[in-house]
Amino acid sequence: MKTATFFIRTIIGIILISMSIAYFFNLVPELENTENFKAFHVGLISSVYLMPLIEIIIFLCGISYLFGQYVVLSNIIILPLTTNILFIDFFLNQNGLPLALFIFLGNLFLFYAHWKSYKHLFHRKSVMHFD
Amino acid sequence: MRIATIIIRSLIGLLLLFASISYFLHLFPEPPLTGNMKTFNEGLKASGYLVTLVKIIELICGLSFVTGKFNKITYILLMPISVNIICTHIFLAPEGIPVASFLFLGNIFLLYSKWDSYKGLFTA
Repeated sequence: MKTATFFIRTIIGIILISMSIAYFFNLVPELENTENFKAFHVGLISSVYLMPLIEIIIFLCGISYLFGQYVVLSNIIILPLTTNILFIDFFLNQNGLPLALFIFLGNLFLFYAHWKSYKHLFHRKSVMHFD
Repeated sequence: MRIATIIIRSLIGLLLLFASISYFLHLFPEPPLTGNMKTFNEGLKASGYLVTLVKIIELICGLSFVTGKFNKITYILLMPISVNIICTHIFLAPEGIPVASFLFLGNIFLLYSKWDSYKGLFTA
């Protein structure tokens, strides 16, 4: 279990870091083969902030996974991104589906591996800490 | 402090319920968009799933905020959405900044009000 966690964490870390480096140095090949994917991509670029924000978060989480620091926090921060990568590849770009699936399931596995850190967030009754 | 938390939580919950229910029931005609906002919106629609996913999450968070159940997890769940709402408004639609910043700052305040529950996530 420990070895599996280590391997999955490191592999996902390397994938995330190389994704963000490829973006920042413009190494990404043109992938837009369908009309919808193109429209989506143009929309993201026109928002100005979204792509850099995503790539910075991916880079930071990749570093965190690679070195095994603050993994509990990075899991939560990266979850919205892996969900959206999975959905985009499922709906618009089936070529990337295996990689997206691997990242998403790996993220879920890391949640499971650290489950005892998250358990208390799911309690129905919340405790007020101010009083 | 406790009263302030309840007021802000309920206001944000109502705002989220309003936003999601009016989307699902088509209560309002879509305002005409221009320039980058239009391109951005068309891009989101072209993805096929994104707007629906966001609105479902808003509905879940709104219900949880109004009723006060499962708040610890829904405060985190809303965070990516409020970050994107405020960034979209800052860069593309400055007229919506007041509401967006209320949502964003309110969300941060709510996270802060339960900070003890999140401390455990920051262990190295």
